Amino acid sequence: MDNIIEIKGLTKYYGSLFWKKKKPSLYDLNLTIPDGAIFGFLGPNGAGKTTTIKILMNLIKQSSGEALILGCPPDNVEVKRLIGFLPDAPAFSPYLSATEFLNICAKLFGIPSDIRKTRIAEVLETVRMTRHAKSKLGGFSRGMTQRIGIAQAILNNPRLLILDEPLVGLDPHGRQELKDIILDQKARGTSVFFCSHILSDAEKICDRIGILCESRLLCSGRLDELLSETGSKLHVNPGHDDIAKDMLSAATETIKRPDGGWELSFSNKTEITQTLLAVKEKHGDAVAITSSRESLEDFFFRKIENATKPS
Amino acid sequence: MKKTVVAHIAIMVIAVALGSLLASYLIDQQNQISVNRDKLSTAPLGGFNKFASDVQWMLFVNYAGGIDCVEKPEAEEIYKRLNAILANDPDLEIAYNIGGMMISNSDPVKSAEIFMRGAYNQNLKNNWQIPFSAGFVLDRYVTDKDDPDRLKKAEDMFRLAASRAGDNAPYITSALLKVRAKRIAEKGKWSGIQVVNDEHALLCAMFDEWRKNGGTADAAQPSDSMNIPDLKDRLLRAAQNAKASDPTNKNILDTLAKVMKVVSEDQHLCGNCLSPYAAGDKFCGQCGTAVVVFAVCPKCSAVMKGKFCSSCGSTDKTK
Amino acid sequence: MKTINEVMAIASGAWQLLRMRVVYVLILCVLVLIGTAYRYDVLSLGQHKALMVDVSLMLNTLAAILVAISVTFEISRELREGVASTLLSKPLGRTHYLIGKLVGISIAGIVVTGLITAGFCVIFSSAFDDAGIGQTMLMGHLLIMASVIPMSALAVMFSVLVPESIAAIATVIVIWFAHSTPAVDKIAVLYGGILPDLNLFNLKAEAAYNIASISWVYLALALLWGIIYSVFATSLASLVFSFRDLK
Repeated sequence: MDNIIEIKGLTKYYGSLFWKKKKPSLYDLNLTIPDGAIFGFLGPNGAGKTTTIKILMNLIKQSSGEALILGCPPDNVEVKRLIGFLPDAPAFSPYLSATEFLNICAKLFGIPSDIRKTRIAEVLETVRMTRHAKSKLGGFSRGMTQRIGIAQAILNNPRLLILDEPLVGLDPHGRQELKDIILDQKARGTSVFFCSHILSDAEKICDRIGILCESRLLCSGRLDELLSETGSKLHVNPGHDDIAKDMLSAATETIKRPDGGWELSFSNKTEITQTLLAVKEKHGDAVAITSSRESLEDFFFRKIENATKPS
Repeated sequence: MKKTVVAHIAIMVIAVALGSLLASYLIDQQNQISVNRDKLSTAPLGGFNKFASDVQWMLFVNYAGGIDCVEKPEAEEIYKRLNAILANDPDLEIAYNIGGMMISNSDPVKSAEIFMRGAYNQNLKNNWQIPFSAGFVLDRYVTDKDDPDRLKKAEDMFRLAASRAGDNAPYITSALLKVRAKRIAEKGKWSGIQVVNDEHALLCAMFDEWRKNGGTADAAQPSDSMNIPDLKDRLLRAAQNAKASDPTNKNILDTLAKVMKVVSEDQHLCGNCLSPYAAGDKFCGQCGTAVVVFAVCPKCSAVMKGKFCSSCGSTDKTK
Repeated sequence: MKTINEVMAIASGAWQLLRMRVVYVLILCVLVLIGTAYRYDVLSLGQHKALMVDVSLMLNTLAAILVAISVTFEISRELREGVASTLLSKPLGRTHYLIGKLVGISIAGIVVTGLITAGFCVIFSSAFDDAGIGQTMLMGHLLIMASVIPMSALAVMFSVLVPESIAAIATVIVIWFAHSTPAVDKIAVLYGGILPDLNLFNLKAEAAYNIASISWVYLALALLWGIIYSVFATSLASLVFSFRDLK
């Protein structure tokens, strides 16, 4: 299977009562995620990320369009044996202990009873919750609950891991651990689809992203491809204002640093690159050229800003 | 999705059909088990009718314990409370007994009505006290003005009580016979004979019972009869009393003739006082009147104890 | 087999109710109340024997209702907090989820009412040396145990059909009226089919006096009706639930 998730024209309207005006929560989403990828689904609150995930998990029904997950429609119960899912704000029966809850999940996944115990111990160890194995879930903090959520999601060694805001509620240490878990899962051949607000973390672990805004997909693709289109930066050392002034008219963004130096950004055009190379040759160490790969955060905000700008 | 919807709807339709059929069968079964279901209050008590009745009963006991005497207003209140209790639990035996008895003086009609309700309750069919009390109140406290059929009802109640009590309560049969006699006396005629007094009426009543029993106390019981083990003795005593009340009255003598012909066919009774006498007696031991001698040896006049005379060996008997 | 495992996995979550200490405290209170009926001999003019049986039957019914409606809170909470979403993201159909809840709460209810019945038998036998536990008395209690199944099904149905805020109240009202129906139970086509006839499980008066005889066949058929009605209620709930968007 080439694509682990295929979404075509997926639309979801809320407020379906006939006297209410229908409001799209997701509009004409087309998305393909190849097998083995870590896909970051990004977007501001209310963009439709969780709606997409819920449709994929058959928790809500789409108004139109089609979604295939591991080649099957979302209402196929059997395909869920291959999926691990961490919901946004996971919650569990408060009077069950962590082990009991995971035992129920293991039974639902059809994990044979002889390896169930071992597997539960393994995942608890993975999420560093072994010492809380017998504690009631009702007494867990947000972070602990999140860890148990992750544990139940990876319990079945899934082929596809869907994580809705997995980093929320975790301390920096926990976030690092989760990132390690995700990378570990990828190393095992698991595809990961997750949505997050924490762009810096997403940037570190994702190899593909999609940005959703106001119910529409703005872009999707390989992260390195999306971020490479930004351009170059010319760093001019203090005392060389004349060099900077010569280049001002071509720069897309100009910053005068407090030390008297300059930072000029240029869009990625062939003639500019040649000009910059010429400047570097001429002035030597007085200038430095760096490839200005835009951060994911900058890219995200730029995309969002463009999408929300009144036309 | 459509397939699932159709499957769900099909399952629901089948379940409704099966459920309705089974419920209908079970309701019939339940009506057989719970014979008083149709008498139950239809108030939505969540099936806790019996518990409601228990609470009402204890409140009733509390109320009854606080009243000094039962006049008309108290009787009204008691009747109202009893109705509420019995609507929720028609099987509360004690409510009929105590409640009915409490208002028997001040409101005998309602008292009798309560007792009769209990008497006809299928679940209390082994209780003889309630129909007896019903008969008693109808006989003693209810007037003809209140209920012209009171004696008929009282007789039915005593009959019901007697059939339930078996041999344990001879006074029930006495009460029954007395109320039957009252009815005969009220009517004034019995089998074409003028009934002249209470003793005469009682004799007629007893003879009716005798006939209902098929002629003997031990005979197989017809459905509306009852077992009165000493009926023959009672009948004789009634006959004696009737004769003693007016020895020359033609109506009584006619009745006696009718009764004795059937009842004392195999007995030897004094023609004057109707007392039985023994073999060899020449005079009645009770009134001294000469009687017809029987069972003596024609040869030696000794009393015959068997086929042969124990004194002379003769076989001929004198009747 | 797989289906049974899934259902039992959800059921095992539902009968965790039995691990709550408060349940046993309540059972103890119920048994104390049953025992207290013995002291009402004077106030009831000697009717305390029937009273004790009746109190036990009433409290057992209330316990069954309480256990049944607890599932409305359970399912509503799971739907509201997203616990259901977590479970339904596993290989578990929505119908199986509801059946699992029904089975779990029914087992919990049967255990609770069974404990009350056993406690009653001990108390009654100790209080009245001359009286044994009559068959009708026992049947009265067994019928209440059987009634847990359709009552739980109603609770499951309402927790899916109506908003969370009124699910428990709607369940209690329907259970109450389903027990108060001798006046309308002659409408057999609807009654016992679409409308529940929980009065089929109500032979409390007969049990209190230990009169009449309730056969094992009646008990078995009443239980069967309860299961058939539960199938209807769960199917309806499942149909609605299958279209419902989950949190």
